[in-house]
Amino acid sequence: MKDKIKKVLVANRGEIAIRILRTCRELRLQTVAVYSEIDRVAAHLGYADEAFLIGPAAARKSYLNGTKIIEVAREAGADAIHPGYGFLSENPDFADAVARAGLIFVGPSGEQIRRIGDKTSARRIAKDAGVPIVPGTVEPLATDSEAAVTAEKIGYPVLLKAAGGGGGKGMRLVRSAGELPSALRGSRSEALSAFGDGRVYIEKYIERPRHVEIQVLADSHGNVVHLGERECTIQRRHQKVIEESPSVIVNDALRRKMTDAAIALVKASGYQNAGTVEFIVDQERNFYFLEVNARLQVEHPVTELRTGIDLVREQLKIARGEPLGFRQEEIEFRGHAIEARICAEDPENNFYPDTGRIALLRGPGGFGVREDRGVEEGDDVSAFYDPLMSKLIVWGQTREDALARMGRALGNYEIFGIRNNLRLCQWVIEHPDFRAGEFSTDFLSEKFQPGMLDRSSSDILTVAAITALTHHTVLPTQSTRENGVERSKWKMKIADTFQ
Amino acid sequence: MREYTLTSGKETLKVSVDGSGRFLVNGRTIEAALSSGAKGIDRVQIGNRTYALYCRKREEFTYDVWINHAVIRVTVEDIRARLLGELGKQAASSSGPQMVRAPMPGLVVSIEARQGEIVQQGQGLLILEAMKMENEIRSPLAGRIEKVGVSDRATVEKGQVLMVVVPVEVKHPTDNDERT
Repeated sequence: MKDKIKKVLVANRGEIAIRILRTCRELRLQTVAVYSEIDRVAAHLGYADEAFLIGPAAARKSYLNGTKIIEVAREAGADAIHPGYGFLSENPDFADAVARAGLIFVGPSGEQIRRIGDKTSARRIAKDAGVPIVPGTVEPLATDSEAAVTAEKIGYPVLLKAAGGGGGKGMRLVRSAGELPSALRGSRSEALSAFGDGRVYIEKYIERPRHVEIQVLADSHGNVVHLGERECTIQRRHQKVIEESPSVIVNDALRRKMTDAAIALVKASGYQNAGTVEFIVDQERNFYFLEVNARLQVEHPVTELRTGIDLVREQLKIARGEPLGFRQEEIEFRGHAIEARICAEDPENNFYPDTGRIALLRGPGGFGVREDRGVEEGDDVSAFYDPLMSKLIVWGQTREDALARMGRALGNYEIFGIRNNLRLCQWVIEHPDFRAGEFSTDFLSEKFQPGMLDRSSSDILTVAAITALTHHTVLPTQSTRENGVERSKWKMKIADTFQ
Repeated sequence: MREYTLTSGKETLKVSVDGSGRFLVNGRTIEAALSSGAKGIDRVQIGNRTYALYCRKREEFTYDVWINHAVIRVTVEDIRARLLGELGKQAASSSGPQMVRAPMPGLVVSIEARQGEIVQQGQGLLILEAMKMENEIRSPLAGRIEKVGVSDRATVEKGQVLMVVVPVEVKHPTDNDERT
């Protein structure tokens, strides 16, 4: 079975490509990297045996160009393609095309992706498997009385949502029965004008939710195991910033229920390879199924640091048709892990992505520190791809240790030349509510304002000013025609102003 | 010492520099040693504290300084440089006789070009004393001085025409130098 995969093409870039290539090298597999025109000297190329150009900078012409990638895989003689995360990783057509080309897709099959990736299909599978889902109607409300009855049954507060579209249009939060009639009227009319469809449905409103997900591995022999939970509640506009394991809000009883539910769901769906089952947890420790991510996730190192299990290696083993090498009882969980996503974004300027050359990059190290980085000093960060530059993951024996270690690691991290969110991550790690484990997905939107990160003492400002001024007044030497006139006495007084 | 006004966000600093490493910042004397290292990283030493920074010019008078985990944007108000720079930009874009105008009010302390003289682009035309400094007004183009509009020790207003220069192709300016 080991011979089934001898050469892997990694259909991705940046930190995840490097991470996958590392494990492939350890398993003595030959490796192929792909790159777009703007990535000709990208960091990930140095980790593969061969590299192929697949297209121009634009993702849809390169990293999303499944046809070209499969063509390259065949040309290179690869027998497997690992899609990483994002890009084509959850594209069922691509997974099918890889299989049709006689190659192995390191992940679930196209059919499995379709089944579990479709939200209504996934909710149905979950419901049938006895997994709690966010209570609500699946069909739009027919009458106002149906709305009232359903709302009573679910329990207030409830959310009215437009059936015809999203983006918050037609959404109404209803806290009590008294508010329902006017909320229905408003919701319907707003939905009608926004989508031409005034139908609304009703869902339980989960207050101050937390996002907790369960990592699973399923082989082709019917074995399914979980590798614990990850708490990913600290988000900004649905983009995760800080992740950790274990979750502060998950006690043993809740963990048992959630992991049982995740495994039941995976077994019922026939899903194979690595996947993550996402749940919403409310402040009373009720949990509700959200969706399944049919891929390896960005924050997977958090799980790896706690379990000592290399998830990419397990993915490759499962892809080869091998059974899992361990039983659930053999999986040990040690200590606490936290990850910070270091991005080329300016939190003080509405998280606007920054581009430019990285003048200096010095990552931290030491005991319990892991860095999965996609860029190197001297690289140019462009606007074509995700602004994630690096993942900083720390492990500690306790959450307190891990927090201290993350604070230290972030403090030691030096990035010059590109605006980044290091200080924002530090701000989160030091925030008393975060340290107390008391937060919901509203944490950043409620508590963070630009200007909060400004710890510039007057000394720092003075030093910055002096430096800028020195750069400004150090002028290029200019030769002026002397015309036989002594000009030296003017040069000291005269500003070199003609530019 | 030359004084500049620097702004960063809501902060304003008046900084004077004499090129010796001594700075006067909002009245406070600071001795700073600056060294530029590899990769463009500067090191600033003040007293027994050392800072590593990276300074990148954003625009004409704006710099981004990376220090600690912050990026501080500093704008240098070099008014004279701005005005005199504008003078050059205006003239360079048009053809025909060029009016060389005073970029700020001042006192003419020296006239360096005579009527009929051929001058090169960038050549000094006169010295205007303004804002406690002596400012050399230079020719924005190569040409012939058609008219000198002011006399020595004249007080001029902003925008006042100092000289008129007519574009001429200059090959060997020394041959045409009529000054002795």
